[in-house]
Amino acid sequence: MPLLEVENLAKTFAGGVRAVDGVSFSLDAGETFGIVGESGCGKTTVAKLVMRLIEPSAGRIRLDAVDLTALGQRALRPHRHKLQMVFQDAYAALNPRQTVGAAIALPLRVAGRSHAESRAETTRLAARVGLEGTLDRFPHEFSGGQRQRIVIARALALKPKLLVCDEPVSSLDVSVRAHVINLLGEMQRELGLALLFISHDLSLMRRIAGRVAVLYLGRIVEIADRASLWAVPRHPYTQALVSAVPLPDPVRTRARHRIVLRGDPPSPVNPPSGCRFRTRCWMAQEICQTDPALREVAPGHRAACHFA
Amino acid sequence: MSLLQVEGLTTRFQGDAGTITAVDGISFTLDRGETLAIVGESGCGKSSAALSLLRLVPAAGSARLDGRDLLALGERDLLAVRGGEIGMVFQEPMTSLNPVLTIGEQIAEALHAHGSTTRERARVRAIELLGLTGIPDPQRQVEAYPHTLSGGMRQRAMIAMAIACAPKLLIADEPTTALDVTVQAQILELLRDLQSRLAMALLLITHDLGVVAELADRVAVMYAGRIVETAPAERLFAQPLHPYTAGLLTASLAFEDSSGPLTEIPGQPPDLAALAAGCAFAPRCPRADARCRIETPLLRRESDRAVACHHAVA
Repeated sequence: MPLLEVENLAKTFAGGVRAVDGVSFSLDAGETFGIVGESGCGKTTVAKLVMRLIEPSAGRIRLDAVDLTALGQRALRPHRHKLQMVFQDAYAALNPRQTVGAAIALPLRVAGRSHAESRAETTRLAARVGLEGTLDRFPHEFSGGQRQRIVIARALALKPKLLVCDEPVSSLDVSVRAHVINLLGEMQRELGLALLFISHDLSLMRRIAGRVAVLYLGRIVEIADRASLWAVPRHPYTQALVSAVPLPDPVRTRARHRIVLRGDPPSPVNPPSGCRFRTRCWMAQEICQTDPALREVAPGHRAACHFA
Repeated sequence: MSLLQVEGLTTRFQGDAGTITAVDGISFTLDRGETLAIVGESGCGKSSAALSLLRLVPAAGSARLDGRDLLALGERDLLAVRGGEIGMVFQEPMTSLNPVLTIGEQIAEALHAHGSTTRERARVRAIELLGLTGIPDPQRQVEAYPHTLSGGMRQRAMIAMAIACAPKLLIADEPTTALDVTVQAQILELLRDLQSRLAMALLLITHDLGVVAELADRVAVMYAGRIVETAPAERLFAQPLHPYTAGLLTASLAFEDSSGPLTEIPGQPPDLAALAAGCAFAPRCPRADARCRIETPLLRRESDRAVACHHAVA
């Protein structure tokens, strides 16, 4: 049975922005599942919904067979420790007036651990993420990569089963990014963690996620295992994304065929009818005015396109 | 003669922790129509170098554009160069554009500043420029305010402003960093297209080796305020000589099937307020020895490339 099951999840914000519009996926224990897409596609909203940081407009989220969407905030509390989150901006995610030690200890204290127990566990966690002896220091004394490691230590304090990572390395330099990604991988193996990994970075996604969903204007347009998705993307949007990935290799990048899409993604306030990608799609026909279903196009590979 | 000849460019800032040398005596040249990418991570001094050329931050050394030293120009001449002979595109178009002026008014501003032109002529030229940068329906968009445009369209408008006076040199500081990958592809294509049409030189400032690979003829890699390696793009990617360049390349993901841990560059970028003697990269370098911690390596030239390392790779 999957660890996390998301069914027909939807979120409409005030003003009619349909940020997430019927998203379904599941995630096994210990697995890394990626959601990739561009700004405004709804990927961060999915992350916040899974965390119940915001309330869904429709749909179900089940963790360990418990329907989280059916629980009120108080009833949800005993389940909170199972899912934790790492945010994009580690500086904003840490209280500037709280020491590193207090930040990492907070979830332990909230969970009712004794002061001594929290202190010991906090020391162990800080050492585990490579920041021993820094518990009395403040967030501004650390570099971006170090801050993200503090956030990871805090998120892992209660030994969650699922870690939701929303662009955890997007604001980090290349040379530092690898530390954070490798640390997440190590923690995943040690704790049997499942990762819901949200990113716009296709190269990173290809490297770390076993299964990936591609999101466009609040909907999954393609979902598949890593091998199948990147080798043979079926949806035109995924094809365009793949063809636009910057490659650190002038020979390869200048030789390849690139699909340059017209225009920008339309506004989620007023998305196109039918296939939401049709306004930018070079294959669009009349049939695309009707909504394409997300259907199986190869074993374990689904795409929402009439021509996939 | 090169279009731009920079020698010993140095930029210092006064901080709480003392003086910080953001750009530490860098030298480079840029030919007409050529694209030079200055690549490096946060705090390496690449943006400060770009701002120094336009004297948007105080700098020492010399920077000759067509033989005239930009760093010695009087205020009046300087104003003529900014937005005239040199155009600049910034990373964040929303904070660089004036929110209370229409796109057309902002382009017209540049045109008026560099030669008297009538309102009507400026408007016609603005529409032409918007069309040139691929903004759909330019007759209508010329009246648009920045907040009504998408990120990609705003960056196009910024580029239209920057090229309004047909500059010889366009400086683009992280022009696609704030953009999505499909929009980034459009802007890179636009820059390439405009450059060849207008025969501009392009000084590209970026942290992204993917963007470098797309556009650059030559590359200068910066670390802690200095150029540590410079080479033609293809040679740099095929065979990096500086251990930092080599590290950056292996740490950059190549969009391919592979698993296992990512290659790390150990340690942290240096604190510019407390730089130790010797090579700034030594504390993170797998090849560093005692000499590297004492003696700062100078940029040694070999045919069309140069490297500042006592133990260059290969």
